[in-house]
Amino acid sequence: MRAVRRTAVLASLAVFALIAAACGSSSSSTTAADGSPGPVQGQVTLFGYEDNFVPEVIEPFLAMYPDLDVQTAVFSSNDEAVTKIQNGFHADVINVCTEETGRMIDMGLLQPIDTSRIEGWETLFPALKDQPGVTYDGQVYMIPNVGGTSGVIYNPDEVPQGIDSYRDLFEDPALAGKVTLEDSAASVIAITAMALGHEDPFALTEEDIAAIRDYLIAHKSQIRALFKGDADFLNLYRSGEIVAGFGYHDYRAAMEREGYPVEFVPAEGSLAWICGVGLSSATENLDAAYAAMNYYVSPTPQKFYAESYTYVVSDQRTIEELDPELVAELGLDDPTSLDAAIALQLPDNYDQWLAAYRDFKAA
Amino acid sequence: MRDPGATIASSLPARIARVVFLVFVLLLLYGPLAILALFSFNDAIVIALPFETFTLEWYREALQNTLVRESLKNSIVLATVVMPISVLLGTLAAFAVTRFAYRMRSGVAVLVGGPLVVPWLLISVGLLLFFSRIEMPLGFLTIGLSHVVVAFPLVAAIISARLLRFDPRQEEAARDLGATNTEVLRYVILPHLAPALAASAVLAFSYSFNNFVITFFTGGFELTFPTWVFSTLRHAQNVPIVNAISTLVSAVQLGVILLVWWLWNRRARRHAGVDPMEMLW
Amino acid sequence: MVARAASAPRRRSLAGPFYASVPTAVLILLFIGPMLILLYYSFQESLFGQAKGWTLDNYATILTDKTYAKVMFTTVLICTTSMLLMLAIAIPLAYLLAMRLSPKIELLFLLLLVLSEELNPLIRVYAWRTILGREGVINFVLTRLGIVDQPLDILLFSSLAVVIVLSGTYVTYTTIPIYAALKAVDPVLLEAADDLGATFATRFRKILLPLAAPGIFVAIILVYIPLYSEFAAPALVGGTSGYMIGNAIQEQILEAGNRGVGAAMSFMLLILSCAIAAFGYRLGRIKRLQATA
Repeated sequence: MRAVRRTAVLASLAVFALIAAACGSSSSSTTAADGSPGPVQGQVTLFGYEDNFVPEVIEPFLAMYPDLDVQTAVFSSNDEAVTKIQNGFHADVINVCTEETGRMIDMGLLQPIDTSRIEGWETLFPALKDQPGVTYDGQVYMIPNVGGTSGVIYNPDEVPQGIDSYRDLFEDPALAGKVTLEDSAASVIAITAMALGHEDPFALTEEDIAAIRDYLIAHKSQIRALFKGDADFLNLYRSGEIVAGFGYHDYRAAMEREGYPVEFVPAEGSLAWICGVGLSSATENLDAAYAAMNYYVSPTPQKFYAESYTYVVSDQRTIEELDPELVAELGLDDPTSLDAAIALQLPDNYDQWLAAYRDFKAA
Repeated sequence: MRDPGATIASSLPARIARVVFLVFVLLLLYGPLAILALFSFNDAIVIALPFETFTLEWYREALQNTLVRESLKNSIVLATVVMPISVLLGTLAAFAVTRFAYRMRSGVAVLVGGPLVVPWLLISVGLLLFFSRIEMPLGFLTIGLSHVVVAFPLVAAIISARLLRFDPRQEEAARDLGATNTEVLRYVILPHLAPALAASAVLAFSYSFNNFVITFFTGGFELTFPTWVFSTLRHAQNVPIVNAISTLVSAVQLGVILLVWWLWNRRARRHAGVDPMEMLW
Repeated sequence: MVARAASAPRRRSLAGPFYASVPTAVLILLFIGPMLILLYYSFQESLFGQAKGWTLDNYATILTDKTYAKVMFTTVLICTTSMLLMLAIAIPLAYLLAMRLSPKIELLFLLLLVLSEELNPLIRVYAWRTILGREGVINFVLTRLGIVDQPLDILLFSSLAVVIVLSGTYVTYTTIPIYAALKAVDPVLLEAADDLGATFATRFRKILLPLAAPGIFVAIILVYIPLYSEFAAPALVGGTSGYMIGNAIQEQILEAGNRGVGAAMSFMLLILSCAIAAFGYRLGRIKRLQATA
């Protein structure tokens, strides 16, 4: 009898010890031993564009999780963000866009996302969910929350004959020295590819790229300036330096709100930018990270982005919260309009793109 | 020191040319700032002619913005700490390179000049790699150290330019009269360096306060003013707020400068006939 | 009496290294350290951030690429033009400040000069556009006065615009060192020359310029060399002519994640900078002025 009792005591002590070990083992990670989500606590670090952290966007998140220590850092361009992370900076949740997810995955900076833990995954517009840059090798690396389309923007007062093609930007002598393009290899090469008839602007051979480069150099005098960002574009437009150019749909909305005459046409094809949240490969506090990701793809911040910047939102639930006029302006009443857009993405031969673009700029 | 202009005769055309030239320089330096200040009162989100209507809206929004206040505070504190350290290190370096002769001197000079000739982007990425290698957490300390590294060579350069032409006779005279090294430093050398020290102090503060590239790459989760400016300028509708607060910051600095100037002049008037530049100690 | 070159008073030979110790230590740790890491990367093949193995490919790519040669040529042209323009402004300005203005005005101007560094380049550029643009201030004046029929396109989004904006940005750093050097000069020298009948040109060439030389040397280090790394002005006001070597380096590090090539380009630029500094050193005859044991 005594032997059995001793064994029982020892066994219960062992079980006790195991339970104590399981409970006390995780320091930063609050995921329980079997992998199911635990309470959201500890610290989470966010790295994103400044509009991710304005009071209207960040305060509701902070209120949802009062025990969570949220640290934020801002960047002003995707390239800077990737470079900073590449060289040693760590943040749990990163504001990423389809343009660089490929690069970041190659560098091992992102980890796959478990979409079963994302509440809004099912209600996302398929057109945004299925774009390249969101998924790689069958795994999801980015949850989109906002996006935008692009095309040709022009001033109908100065260009009464209208423009319906990227080719016009390059070849119409009436527009000589009054055109602007975005200062980005991806968009410039892609729209030139489309102007020259390529169906898929991101599937280009070396010869294609060489031809595009020569075409660009031949028509360089059409272009007045290369813009970076909407403020730059608006300034060029307003000051009369340009009358037409490649631009994004939110530029059109911003200018209309200011009362400028403006027309927007998708031309041969609309390049779409899609941004959202990604999970850093070094993140340990997964519960807090998923909480943050879930928040950023929920209707609350998306409503703010749609109303303030006329961004296209990714979650269908957000539509119900928006003014119907805005929904129509964004084209969200007809979700199939997004199907035609081609996501800005990283082609395999991106280094050739960069070289061609550099040759164009140096010419 | 009497006014040298009084001795070499200046003809009227020369005087007019002088004034025109100075006005041109002022326009070159402050023209852009004046235009931006003008547009900070413009009721439009784009800085382009024509001027629409007058408004104080942007200033109101800028001053109510919590991120603005936080980032300004951080940047001012940072620059205030970085400035004296940079001036001290820079002066030490300038002394080391110009006043003594020893074998390693050229090496030291080249080393001190190093941060001035390497692009900031490279220095930033290098420092980030370095800090992450030694597993130092990114924050105010890493930003501060990085600022000091790029600012003090600038101080050293300015002070060196002054020291290279320093007339040793006053120093020798003081020594002959029995002054100790410390006294010579305090009463002969430092006063002569004063304008250069003042200029380099202001430049060191400015380097730190306005620095974006280095601050972005070596910083962690704190917000500084240039970081806020660069990241906020991404949206066109934020341009006027950034403009308003930048104009305000410039106005404050201008005010401080004018106040300092006026105080110096008053002190000079009290010691009548003395060159205010000589009063800088 | 001819002014002697400054000579160091006799000191214990340890004083120099003593003064140098702390700055040197800081630099070795926080500057040489990071630079060595980057040097390491420049010899590693780095395609999109993956270090692969020891190679001279990065350097070879740069040296053999015709585009980079072209870009370098444009850069040298723009930088040198800007520097000469700035010297043309800074030398007379420094002279006026150090020797001709009343002390009150001198101090005010000096302070204003130093203050003008405060402005953020991104929004400053919008101001330059309103000055240089097609519908900008200068063109407005020129067309109203009938000096030109059409607005001058070349004032903005051209190499000329880059030179103008760079000059406006860096003229302070050019003036300050020259001013500092001239300030230490006794104006008696110029008076004596004037009394002896020297013309302004002679006074300028034989006395002023050599005396300002160390300042000019420092100005070259502070301005000419960093001009080569400039990327903001060319990108924002250069239009399609705005591509300099600084932009290429930015592109490699930020857009391509190509630390190796970016670092390699910088180190080659560094070698060029050393050559420029050595040339300036010779030109400024600094050696003669430095302490002799």
